[in-house]
Amino acid sequence: MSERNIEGMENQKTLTKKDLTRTFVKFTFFPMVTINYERFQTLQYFCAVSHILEKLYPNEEDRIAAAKRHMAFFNTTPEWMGFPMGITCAQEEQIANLEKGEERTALEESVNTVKASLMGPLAGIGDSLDATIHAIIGALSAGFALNGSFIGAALALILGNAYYFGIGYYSFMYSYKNGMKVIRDMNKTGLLDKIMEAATILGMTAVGALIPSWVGFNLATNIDIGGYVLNIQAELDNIIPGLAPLALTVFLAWLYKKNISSLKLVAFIFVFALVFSLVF
Amino acid sequence: MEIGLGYALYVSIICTFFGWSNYGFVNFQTTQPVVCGALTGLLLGDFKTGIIIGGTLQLVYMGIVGVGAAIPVNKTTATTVTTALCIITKIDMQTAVALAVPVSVLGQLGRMAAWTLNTPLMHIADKYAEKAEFKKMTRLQLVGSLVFFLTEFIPVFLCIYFGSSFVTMVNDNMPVWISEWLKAATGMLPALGFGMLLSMMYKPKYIAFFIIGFVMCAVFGGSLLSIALLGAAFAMIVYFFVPTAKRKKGGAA
Repeated sequence: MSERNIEGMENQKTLTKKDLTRTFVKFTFFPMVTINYERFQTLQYFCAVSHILEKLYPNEEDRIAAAKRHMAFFNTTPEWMGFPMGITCAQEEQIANLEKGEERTALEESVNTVKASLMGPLAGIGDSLDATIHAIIGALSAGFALNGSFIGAALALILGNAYYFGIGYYSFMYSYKNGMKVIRDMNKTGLLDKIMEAATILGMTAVGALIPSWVGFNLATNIDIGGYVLNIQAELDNIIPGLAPLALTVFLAWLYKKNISSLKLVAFIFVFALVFSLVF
Repeated sequence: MEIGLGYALYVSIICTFFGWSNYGFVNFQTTQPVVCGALTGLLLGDFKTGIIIGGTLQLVYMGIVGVGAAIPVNKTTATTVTTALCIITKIDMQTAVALAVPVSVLGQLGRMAAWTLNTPLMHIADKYAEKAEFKKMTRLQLVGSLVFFLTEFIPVFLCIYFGSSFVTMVNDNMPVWISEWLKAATGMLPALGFGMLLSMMYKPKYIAFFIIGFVMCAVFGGSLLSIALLGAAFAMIVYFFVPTAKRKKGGAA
Protein backbone atom coordinates (compact mmCIF):
# COMPACT_ATOMS: atom_id res chain seq x y z
CA MET A 1 0.00 0.00 0.00
CA SER A 2 2.63 2.47 1.07
CA GLU A 3 4.90 1.48 -1.81
CA ARG A 4 2.14 2.17 -4.26
CA ASN A 5 1.61 5.62 -2.77
CA ILE A 6 5.25 6.52 -3.19
CA GLU A 7 5.15 5.29 -6.76
CA GLY A 8 2.06 7.43 -7.32
CA MET A 9 3.82 10.48 -5.95
CA GLU A 10 6.65 10.07 -8.43
CA ASN A 11 4.31 9.99 -11.38
CA GLN A 12 2.27 12.86 -10.04
CA LYS A 13 1.76 15.63 -12.53
CA THR A 14 1.94 18.97 -10.81
CA LEU A 15 1.60 22.52 -12.00
CA THR A 16 4.52 24.78 -11.25
CA LYS A 17 4.40 28.41 -10.20
CA LYS A 18 5.50 29.25 -13.73
CA ASP A 19 2.54 27.46 -15.31
CA LEU A 20 0.15 29.30 -13.05
CA THR A 21 1.77 32.67 -13.66
CA ARG A 22 1.45 32.07 -17.39
CA THR A 23 -2.27 31.43 -16.99
CA PHE A 24 -2.60 34.54 -14.84
CA VAL A 25 -0.88 36.69 -17.47
CA LYS A 26 -2.99 35.21 -20.26
CA PHE A 27 -6.38 35.72 -18.67
CA THR A 28 -5.62 39.19 -17.33
CA PHE A 29 -3.97 40.44 -20.54
CA PHE A 30 -6.32 38.86 -23.09
CA PRO A 31 -9.68 38.23 -21.47
CA MET A 32 -11.85 39.26 -24.42
CA VAL A 33 -9.87 39.08 -27.68
CA THR A 34 -12.28 36.64 -29.34
CA ILE A 35 -15.42 37.70 -27.49
CA ASN A 36 -18.55 37.12 -29.60
CA TYR A 37 -22.31 36.88 -29.40
CA GLU A 38 -22.46 33.10 -29.43
CA ARG A 39 -20.08 31.94 -26.74
CA PHE A 40 -18.53 35.14 -25.37
CA GLN A 41 -15.23 34.50 -23.58
CA THR A 42 -15.16 30.73 -24.13
CA LEU A 43 -12.11 30.60 -26.39
CA GLN A 44 -10.18 33.00 -24.17
CA TYR A 45 -10.79 30.74 -21.19
CA PHE A 46 -9.43 27.81 -23.14
CA CYS A 47 -6.41 29.80 -24.37
CA ALA A 48 -5.55 30.79 -20.80
CA VAL A 49 -5.24 27.16 -19.73
CA SER A 50 -4.07 25.63 -23.03
CA HIS A 51 -0.43 25.21 -21.95
CA ILE A 52 -1.60 23.58 -18.72
CA LEU A 53 -3.76 21.12 -20.62
CA GLU A 54 -0.83 20.34 -22.92
CA LYS A 55 1.37 19.61 -19.96
CA LEU A 56 -1.15 17.52 -18.05
CA TYR A 57 -2.43 15.44 -20.95
CA PRO A 58 0.35 13.97 -23.09
CA ASN A 59 -1.91 11.72 -25.14
CA GLU A 60 -4.18 12.97 -27.88
CA GLU A 61 -7.41 11.39 -26.65
CA ASP A 62 -7.25 13.24 -23.33
CA ARG A 63 -6.31 16.47 -25.06
CA ILE A 64 -9.32 16.32 -27.35
CA ALA A 65 -11.60 15.70 -24.39
CA ALA A 66 -10.05 18.63 -22.51
CA ALA A 67 -10.31 21.00 -25.47
CA LYS A 68 -13.94 20.09 -26.04
CA ARG A 69 -14.65 20.49 -22.35
CA HIS A 70 -13.40 24.06 -22.40
CA MET A 71 -15.24 25.02 -25.56
CA ALA A 72 -18.48 25.10 -23.56
CA PHE A 73 -20.04 28.51 -22.92
CA PHE A 74 -18.25 30.85 -20.55
CA ASN A 75 -18.68 34.54 -19.78
CA THR A 76 -18.02 36.67 -16.74
CA THR A 77 -16.40 39.94 -15.69
CA PRO A 78 -12.67 39.93 -16.64
CA GLU A 79 -11.65 41.16 -13.16
CA TRP A 80 -13.18 38.09 -11.54
CA MET A 81 -12.11 35.41 -13.99
CA GLY A 82 -9.43 34.32 -11.49
CA PHE A 83 -11.94 32.51 -9.28
CA PRO A 84 -13.18 29.88 -11.74
CA MET A 85 -9.76 29.82 -13.45
CA GLY A 86 -7.98 28.80 -10.24
CA ILE A 87 -10.49 26.07 -9.49
CA THR A 88 -10.23 24.81 -13.07
CA CYS A 89 -6.44 24.53 -12.77
CA ALA A 90 -6.76 22.62 -9.51
CA GLN A 91 -9.39 20.32 -11.00
CA GLU A 92 -7.47 19.59 -14.20
CA GLU A 93 -4.40 18.77 -12.15
CA GLN A 94 -6.45 16.36 -10.08
CA ILE A 95 -8.05 14.77 -13.15
CA ALA A 96 -4.69 14.19 -14.81
CA ASN A 97 -3.50 12.23 -11.79
CA LEU A 98 -6.52 9.93 -11.63
CA GLU A 99 -6.88 6.58 -13.34
CA LYS A 100 -9.67 6.36 -15.90
CA GLY A 101 -12.91 5.48 -14.16
CA GLU A 102 -16.05 6.75 -12.57
CA GLU A 103 -14.31 9.15 -10.21
CA ARG A 104 -12.42 10.75 -13.07
CA THR A 105 -15.49 11.09 -15.27
CA ALA A 106 -17.40 12.76 -12.46
CA LEU A 107 -14.59 15.22 -11.89
CA GLU A 108 -14.36 15.97 -15.61
CA GLU A 109 -18.04 16.81 -15.65
CA SER A 110 -17.70 19.02 -12.60
CA VAL A 111 -15.22 21.31 -14.40
CA ASN A 112 -17.99 22.90 -16.43
CA THR A 113 -20.48 22.77 -13.58
CA VAL A 114 -18.13 24.87 -11.48
CA LYS A 115 -17.54 27.34 -14.30
CA ALA A 116 -21.24 27.67 -15.00
CA SER A 117 -22.24 28.03 -11.37
CA LEU A 118 -19.66 30.75 -10.71
CA MET A 119 -19.92 32.92 -13.79
CA GLY A 120 -23.40 34.32 -13.06
CA PRO A 121 -22.85 35.43 -9.46
CA LEU A 122 -19.34 36.69 -10.25
CA ALA A 123 -20.57 38.76 -13.16
CA GLY A 124 -23.24 40.16 -10.83
CA ILE A 125 -20.67 41.19 -8.23
CA GLY A 126 -18.26 42.33 -10.89
CA ASP A 127 -20.68 44.56 -12.74
CA SER A 128 -21.74 46.54 -9.70
CA LEU A 129 -18.46 46.43 -7.74
CA ASP A 130 -16.34 47.37 -10.77
CA ALA A 131 -18.71 50.18 -11.66
CA THR A 132 -18.44 51.48 -8.10
CA ILE A 133 -14.65 51.21 -7.86
CA HIS A 134 -14.18 52.80 -11.27
CA ALA A 135 -16.64 55.54 -10.39
CA ILE A 136 -14.59 56.39 -7.29
CA ILE A 137 -11.23 56.20 -9.09
CA GLY A 138 -12.68 58.08 -12.06
CA ALA A 139 -14.11 60.87 -9.92
CA LEU A 140 -10.84 61.30 -7.99
CA SER A 141 -8.74 61.44 -11.15
CA ALA A 142 -11.20 63.66 -13.04
CA GLY A 143 -10.87 66.19 -10.23
CA PHE A 144 -7.15 66.53 -10.95
CA ALA A 145 -7.61 66.40 -14.71
CA LEU A 146 -10.14 69.23 -14.81
CA ASN A 147 -7.52 71.46 -13.22
CA GLY A 148 -5.18 70.50 -16.05
CA SER A 149 -2.98 68.24 -13.95
CA PHE A 150 -1.62 64.98 -15.37
CA ILE A 151 -1.77 63.46 -11.88
CA GLY A 152 -5.36 62.51 -12.69
CA ALA A 153 -4.31 60.20 -15.51
CA ALA A 154 -1.46 58.76 -13.43
CA LEU A 155 -3.82 58.10 -10.55
CA ALA A 156 -6.32 56.31 -12.79
CA LEU A 157 -3.50 54.19 -14.26
CA ILE A 158 -2.01 53.20 -10.90
CA LEU A 159 -5.21 52.62 -8.91
CA GLY A 160 -7.07 50.99 -11.80
CA ASN A 161 -4.29 48.53 -12.56
CA ALA A 162 -3.71 47.76 -8.89
CA TYR A 163 -7.39 46.87 -8.57
CA TYR A 164 -7.58 44.84 -11.77
CA PHE A 165 -4.41 42.82 -11.34
CA GLY A 166 -4.77 42.62 -7.55
CA ILE A 167 -8.22 41.03 -7.69
CA GLY A 168 -7.17 38.79 -10.57
CA TYR A 169 -4.02 37.50 -8.87
CA TYR A 170 -5.48 37.07 -5.42
CA SER A 171 -8.66 35.30 -6.53
CA PHE A 172 -6.72 33.04 -8.91
CA MET A 173 -4.12 31.90 -6.40
CA TYR A 174 -6.66 31.60 -3.59
CA SER A 175 -9.01 29.43 -5.57
CA TYR A 176 -6.16 27.31 -7.01
CA LYS A 177 -4.92 26.52 -3.51
CA ASN A 178 -8.35 25.75 -2.13
CA GLY A 179 -9.91 24.20 -5.24
CA MET A 180 -13.43 22.89 -4.81
CA LYS A 181 -13.31 23.95 -1.19
CA VAL A 182 -13.91 27.52 -2.39
CA ILE A 183 -17.34 26.55 -3.71
CA ARG A 184 -18.25 24.71 -0.52
CA ASP A 185 -17.10 27.68 1.55
CA MET A 186 -19.06 30.05 -0.63
CA ASN A 187 -22.23 28.03 -0.20
CA LYS A 188 -21.72 27.50 3.51
CA THR A 189 -20.75 30.98 4.60
CA GLY A 190 -22.52 32.87 1.85
CA LEU A 191 -19.16 34.40 0.93
CA LEU A 192 -20.39 35.85 -2.38
CA ASP A 193 -23.44 37.37 -0.72
CA LYS A 194 -21.21 38.89 1.90
CA ILE A 195 -18.80 40.40 -0.62
CA MET A 196 -21.74 41.70 -2.63
CA GLU A 197 -23.33 43.30 0.40
CA ALA A 198 -20.11 44.93 1.59
CA ALA A 199 -19.44 46.21 -1.93
CA THR A 200 -22.94 47.65 -2.23
CA ILE A 201 -22.56 49.50 1.06
CA LEU A 202 -19.31 51.07 -0.11
CA GLY A 203 -20.93 51.86 -3.45
CA MET A 204 -24.02 53.50 -2.00
CA THR A 205 -21.95 55.69 0.35
CA ALA A 206 -19.69 56.76 -2.48
CA VAL A 207 -22.52 57.49 -4.92
CA GLY A 208 -24.15 59.65 -2.27
CA ALA A 209 -20.96 61.72 -2.15
CA LEU A 210 -20.39 61.72 -5.92
CA ILE A 211 -23.69 63.38 -6.74
CA PRO A 212 -23.18 66.78 -5.07
CA SER A 213 -19.49 66.77 -6.11
CA TRP A 214 -19.92 66.13 -9.80
CA VAL A 215 -23.40 66.73 -11.16
CA GLY A 216 -23.31 70.20 -12.67
CA PHE A 217 -26.86 71.39 -12.25
CA ASN A 218 -27.77 74.50 -10.35
CA LEU A 219 -30.36 77.17 -10.70
CA ALA A 220 -28.16 80.18 -10.00
CA THR A 221 -30.29 82.83 -11.58
CA ASN A 222 -31.83 85.85 -9.98
CA ILE A 223 -35.44 86.36 -10.79
CA ASP A 224 -36.71 89.86 -10.23
CA ILE A 225 -40.30 89.85 -9.04
CA GLY A 226 -41.38 93.46 -8.68
CA GLY A 227 -38.28 94.60 -6.83
CA TYR A 228 -37.93 91.39 -4.82
CA VAL A 229 -34.93 89.43 -6.11
CA LEU A 230 -35.38 85.72 -5.80
CA ASN A 231 -32.28 83.57 -6.05
CA ILE A 232 -33.60 80.07 -6.42
CA GLN A 233 -30.27 78.40 -5.75
CA ALA A 234 -29.72 80.29 -2.51
CA GLU A 235 -33.19 79.32 -1.34
CA LEU A 236 -32.53 75.68 -2.18
CA ASP A 237 -29.18 75.78 -0.41
CA ASN A 238 -31.01 76.92 2.70
CA ILE A 239 -33.03 73.71 2.63
CA ILE A 240 -30.06 71.49 1.88
CA PRO A 241 -27.13 72.00 -0.50
CA GLY A 242 -27.03 69.75 -3.53
CA LEU A 243 -30.79 69.22 -3.67
CA ALA A 244 -31.14 69.86 -7.41
CA PRO A 245 -28.42 67.34 -8.48
CA LEU A 246 -29.87 64.82 -6.04
CA ALA A 247 -33.38 65.20 -7.44
CA LEU A 248 -32.14 64.88 -11.02
CA THR A 249 -30.08 61.77 -10.25
CA VAL A 250 -32.83 60.01 -8.32
CA PHE A 251 -35.30 60.81 -11.09
CA LEU A 252 -32.96 59.32 -13.73
CA ALA A 253 -32.34 56.27 -11.52
CA TRP A 254 -36.08 55.79 -11.25
CA LEU A 255 -36.55 56.03 -15.02
CA TYR A 256 -33.68 53.56 -15.56
CA LYS A 257 -35.31 51.14 -13.13
CA LYS A 258 -38.44 51.41 -15.28
CA ASN A 259 -36.39 49.86 -18.11
CA ILE A 260 -35.94 53.04 -20.13
CA SER A 261 -32.71 52.58 -22.06
CA SER A 262 -29.68 54.71 -21.25
CA LEU A 263 -29.63 56.11 -24.80
CA LYS A 264 -33.18 57.40 -24.38
CA LEU A 265 -32.15 58.95 -21.07
CA VAL A 266 -29.22 60.69 -22.78
CA ALA A 267 -31.74 62.13 -25.26
CA PHE A 268 -33.93 63.18 -22.35
CA ILE A 269 -31.00 64.99 -20.72
CA PHE A 270 -30.27 66.87 -23.93
CA VAL A 271 -33.89 68.00 -24.27
CA PHE A 272 -34.04 68.93 -20.59
CA ALA A 273 -30.74 70.83 -20.84
CA LEU A 274 -32.07 72.75 -23.83
CA VAL A 275 -35.16 73.87 -21.94
CA PHE A 276 -33.05 74.57 -18.86
CA SER A 277 -30.44 76.65 -20.69
CA LEU A 278 -33.13 78.70 -22.45
CA VAL A 279 -35.02 79.43 -19.21
CA PHE A 280 -32.11 80.03 -16.83
CA MET B 1 -10.05 72.65 -41.62
CA GLU B 2 -8.91 70.24 -44.32
CA ILE B 3 -6.34 67.67 -43.31
CA GLY B 4 -4.16 65.48 -45.50
CA LEU B 5 -4.70 61.74 -45.87
CA GLY B 6 -1.35 60.90 -44.29
CA TYR B 7 -1.98 63.02 -41.23
CA ALA B 8 -5.53 61.65 -40.92
CA LEU B 9 -4.12 58.09 -40.93
CA TYR B 10 -1.54 58.99 -38.30
CA VAL B 11 -4.14 60.55 -36.01
CA SER B 12 -6.59 57.70 -36.61
CA ILE B 13 -4.08 55.04 -35.62
CA ILE B 14 -3.34 56.84 -32.36
CA CYS B 15 -7.05 57.26 -31.66
CA THR B 16 -7.81 53.64 -32.55
CA PHE B 17 -5.14 52.16 -30.31
CA PHE B 18 -6.84 52.95 -27.02
CA GLY B 19 -10.30 51.69 -27.99
CA TRP B 20 -8.67 48.60 -29.48
CA SER B 21 -6.92 47.89 -26.17
CA ASN B 22 -10.32 47.31 -24.57
CA TYR B 23 -10.85 43.99 -26.37
CA GLY B 24 -8.12 43.32 -28.87
CA PHE B 25 -5.03 44.08 -26.83
CA VAL B 26 -3.82 44.38 -23.25
CA ASN B 27 -5.98 46.85 -21.38
CA PHE B 28 -3.82 48.67 -18.84
CA GLN B 29 -6.69 51.02 -17.95
CA THR B 30 -5.95 52.87 -21.20
CA THR B 31 -9.67 52.73 -21.95
CA GLN B 32 -10.47 55.18 -19.16
CA PRO B 33 -11.22 58.59 -20.72
CA VAL B 34 -8.95 60.41 -18.27
CA VAL B 35 -6.03 58.20 -19.35
CA CYS B 36 -6.59 57.90 -23.10
CA GLY B 37 -7.53 61.56 -23.41
CA ALA B 38 -4.26 62.65 -21.81
CA LEU B 39 -2.17 60.21 -23.88
CA THR B 40 -3.86 61.19 -27.15
CA GLY B 41 -3.23 64.83 -26.30
CA LEU B 42 0.41 64.08 -25.53
CA LEU B 43 0.92 62.25 -28.83
CA LEU B 44 -0.78 65.00 -30.82
CA GLY B 45 1.17 67.75 -29.15
CA ASP B 46 -1.44 69.27 -26.86
CA PHE B 47 -1.20 67.51 -23.50
CA LYS B 48 -3.36 69.97 -21.61
CA THR B 49 -6.36 69.78 -23.95
CA GLY B 50 -6.20 66.00 -23.74
CA ILE B 51 -6.08 66.03 -19.96
CA ILE B 52 -9.06 68.33 -19.60
CA ILE B 53 -11.24 66.64 -22.23
CA GLY B 54 -10.36 63.26 -20.70
CA GLY B 55 -11.36 64.49 -17.25
CA THR B 56 -14.63 65.94 -18.50
CA LEU B 57 -15.59 62.79 -20.39
CA GLN B 58 -14.55 60.60 -17.46
CA LEU B 59 -17.39 62.25 -15.57
CA VAL B 60 -19.81 62.08 -18.48
CA TYR B 61 -19.28 58.35 -18.96
CA MET B 62 -19.07 57.53 -15.28
CA GLY B 63 -21.13 54.51 -14.43
CA ILE B 64 -21.73 53.63 -18.05
CA VAL B 65 -20.60 50.05 -17.85
CA GLY B 66 -21.42 46.88 -19.69
CA VAL B 67 -23.97 44.99 -17.68
CA GLY B 68 -24.27 41.34 -18.53
CA ALA B 69 -23.99 40.73 -22.24
CA ALA B 70 -24.73 44.29 -23.36
CA ILE B 71 -21.99 46.29 -25.07
CA PRO B 72 -21.83 49.78 -23.57
CA VAL B 73 -21.26 52.91 -25.65
CA ASN B 74 -17.63 53.27 -26.64
CA LYS B 75 -16.34 55.90 -24.22
CA THR B 76 -12.70 55.34 -25.16
CA THR B 77 -12.99 56.01 -28.86
CA ALA B 78 -15.34 58.89 -28.07
CA THR B 79 -12.61 60.44 -25.91
CA THR B 80 -9.71 59.96 -28.32
CA VAL B 81 -11.64 61.21 -31.36
CA THR B 82 -13.05 64.20 -29.46
CA THR B 83 -9.58 65.11 -28.21
CA ALA B 84 -8.07 64.77 -31.68
CA LEU B 85 -10.81 66.79 -33.37
CA CYS B 86 -10.55 69.48 -30.73
CA ILE B 87 -6.79 69.75 -31.23
CA ILE B 88 -6.99 69.70 -35.04
CA THR B 89 -9.84 72.17 -35.44
CA LYS B 90 -8.95 74.28 -32.37
CA ILE B 91 -12.58 74.58 -31.32
CA ASP B 92 -13.70 75.38 -27.79
CA MET B 93 -13.25 72.39 -25.43
CA GLN B 94 -16.74 72.67 -23.94
CA THR B 95 -18.23 72.45 -27.43
CA ALA B 96 -15.93 69.62 -28.48
CA VAL B 97 -17.18 67.47 -25.63
CA ALA B 98 -20.59 67.22 -27.31
CA LEU B 99 -18.92 65.42 -30.24
CA ALA B 100 -18.37 62.47 -27.92
CA VAL B 101 -22.04 61.49 -27.97
CA PRO B 102 -22.36 60.53 -31.65
CA VAL B 103 -18.83 59.11 -31.77
CA SER B 104 -19.48 56.85 -28.79
CA VAL B 105 -22.53 55.38 -30.48
CA LEU B 106 -20.63 54.89 -33.74
CA GLY B 107 -17.85 53.14 -31.81
CA GLN B 108 -20.43 50.95 -30.09
CA LEU B 109 -21.79 49.87 -33.47
CA GLY B 110 -18.24 48.95 -34.52
CA ARG B 111 -17.92 46.71 -31.50
CA MET B 112 -21.26 45.06 -32.15
CA ALA B 113 -19.98 44.28 -35.65
CA ALA B 114 -16.80 42.79 -34.14
CA TRP B 115 -18.74 40.55 -31.77
CA THR B 116 -20.76 39.29 -34.71
CA LEU B 117 -17.72 38.80 -36.94
CA ASN B 118 -15.97 36.80 -34.22
CA THR B 119 -18.80 34.30 -33.92
CA PRO B 120 -17.57 31.96 -36.71
CA LEU B 121 -14.26 31.65 -34.83
CA MET B 122 -16.08 29.48 -32.30
CA HIS B 123 -16.97 26.92 -34.97
CA ILE B 124 -13.45 26.91 -36.36
CA ALA B 125 -12.15 26.40 -32.82
CA ASP B 126 -14.60 23.51 -32.35
CA LYS B 127 -13.12 21.82 -35.43
CA TYR B 128 -9.57 22.26 -34.16
CA ALA B 129 -10.63 20.93 -30.76
CA GLU B 130 -11.69 17.66 -32.42
CA LYS B 131 -8.08 17.16 -33.50
CA ALA B 132 -6.49 18.65 -30.36
CA GLU B 133 -4.72 21.34 -32.40
CA PHE B 134 -4.06 23.69 -29.50
CA LYS B 135 -1.65 25.94 -31.37
CA LYS B 136 -4.20 26.67 -34.08
CA MET B 137 -6.87 27.37 -31.49
CA THR B 138 -4.74 29.89 -29.65
CA ARG B 139 -3.74 31.46 -32.95
CA LEU B 140 -7.39 32.38 -33.57
CA GLN B 141 -6.82 35.14 -31.03
CA LEU B 142 -4.86 37.02 -33.68
CA VAL B 143 -7.92 37.02 -35.93
CA GLY B 144 -10.12 38.26 -33.08
CA SER B 145 -7.66 41.01 -32.31
CA LEU B 146 -7.46 42.08 -35.95
CA VAL B 147 -11.26 42.19 -36.20
CA PHE B 148 -11.37 44.48 -33.18
CA PHE B 149 -8.68 46.71 -34.67
CA LEU B 150 -10.52 47.14 -37.97
CA THR B 151 -13.92 47.73 -36.41
CA GLU B 152 -12.40 50.44 -34.23
CA PHE B 153 -10.29 51.93 -36.99
CA ILE B 154 -12.98 52.36 -39.67
CA PRO B 155 -15.35 54.60 -37.66
CA VAL B 156 -12.39 56.52 -36.20
CA PHE B 157 -10.92 57.23 -39.62
CA LEU B 158 -14.26 58.40 -40.99
CA CYS B 159 -14.69 60.75 -38.03
CA ILE B 160 -11.18 62.19 -38.29
CA TYR B 161 -10.89 62.49 -42.08
CA PHE B 162 -14.34 63.82 -42.87
CA GLY B 163 -15.19 65.13 -39.42
CA SER B 164 -12.56 67.82 -39.09
CA SER B 165 -13.79 70.07 -41.89
CA PHE B 166 -17.39 69.40 -40.89
CA VAL B 167 -16.72 70.30 -37.26
CA THR B 168 -14.93 73.53 -38.24
CA MET B 169 -17.81 74.50 -40.50
CA VAL B 170 -20.45 73.84 -37.82
CA ASN B 171 -18.40 75.53 -35.12
CA ASP B 172 -17.89 78.71 -37.12
CA ASN B 173 -21.62 79.10 -37.58
CA MET B 174 -22.77 78.06 -34.15
CA PRO B 175 -25.06 80.41 -32.24
CA VAL B 176 -24.41 81.03 -28.54
CA TRP B 177 -27.53 79.26 -27.34
CA ILE B 178 -26.29 75.96 -28.73
CA SER B 179 -23.01 76.13 -26.88
CA GLU B 180 -24.87 77.14 -23.70
CA TRP B 181 -27.15 74.15 -24.26
CA LEU B 182 -24.27 71.73 -24.75
CA LYS B 183 -22.52 73.07 -21.67
CA ALA B 184 -25.65 72.48 -19.57
CA ALA B 185 -26.08 68.98 -20.98
CA THR B 186 -22.47 67.97 -20.27
CA GLY B 187 -22.90 69.12 -16.68
CA MET B 188 -25.99 66.97 -16.24
CA LEU B 189 -24.76 63.79 -17.94
CA PRO B 190 -22.88 62.45 -14.88
CA ALA B 191 -26.28 62.31 -13.16
CA LEU B 192 -27.19 59.55 -15.59
CA GLY B 193 -24.12 57.49 -14.71
CA PHE B 194 -24.75 57.87 -11.00
CA GLY B 195 -28.45 57.19 -11.52
CA MET B 196 -27.64 53.93 -13.32
CA LEU B 197 -25.26 52.91 -10.53
CA LEU B 198 -27.87 53.80 -7.96
CA SER B 199 -30.63 51.77 -9.57
CA MET B 200 -28.27 48.79 -9.96
CA MET B 201 -27.41 48.74 -6.26
CA TYR B 202 -30.71 49.98 -4.85
CA LYS B 203 -32.41 48.10 -2.06
CA PRO B 204 -34.34 49.88 0.71
CA LYS B 205 -31.91 48.67 3.38
CA TYR B 206 -29.00 50.47 1.69
CA ILE B 207 -30.62 53.92 1.55
CA ALA B 208 -29.10 54.84 4.96
CA PHE B 209 -25.58 54.62 3.52
CA PHE B 210 -26.56 56.69 0.51
CA ILE B 211 -27.94 59.44 2.77
CA ILE B 212 -24.80 59.43 4.95
CA GLY B 213 -22.57 59.75 1.87
CA PHE B 214 -24.69 62.55 0.46
CA VAL B 215 -24.90 64.58 3.66
CA MET B 216 -21.21 64.17 4.48
CA CYS B 217 -20.36 65.68 1.10
CA ALA B 218 -23.10 68.23 0.43
CA VAL B 219 -23.51 69.59 3.94
CA PHE B 220 -20.21 68.92 5.69
CA GLY B 221 -18.06 69.29 2.60
CA GLY B 222 -16.11 66.06 3.04
CA SER B 223 -13.73 65.12 0.25
CA LEU B 224 -14.63 62.21 -1.97
CA LEU B 225 -11.72 60.06 -0.80
CA SER B 226 -12.56 60.55 2.86
CA ILE B 227 -16.18 59.58 2.28
CA ALA B 228 -15.14 56.58 0.22
CA LEU B 229 -12.99 55.50 3.18
CA LEU B 230 -15.98 55.95 5.46
CA GLY B 231 -17.97 53.73 3.10
CA ALA B 232 -15.17 51.16 3.17
CA ALA B 233 -15.32 51.22 6.97
CA PHE B 234 -19.09 50.56 6.91
CA ALA B 235 -18.50 47.72 4.47
CA MET B 236 -15.88 46.18 6.76
CA ILE B 237 -18.12 46.44 9.79
CA VAL B 238 -20.90 44.60 8.00
CA TYR B 239 -18.51 42.04 6.53
CA PHE B 240 -16.77 41.17 9.78
CA PHE B 241 -19.34 41.80 12.49
CA VAL B 242 -22.74 40.92 11.08
CA PRO B 243 -23.29 37.14 11.12
CA THR B 244 -24.47 35.62 7.85
CA ALA B 245 -27.25 33.55 9.32
CA LYS B 246 -29.18 36.58 10.49
CA ARG B 247 -29.34 38.10 7.06
CA LYS B 248 -31.72 37.07 4.35
CA LYS B 249 -30.37 34.64 1.80
CA GLY B 250 -29.67 35.46 -1.81
CA GLY B 251 -28.27 38.87 -2.61
CA ALA B 252 -26.27 37.60 -5.52
CA ALA B 253 -28.46 35.77 -7.98
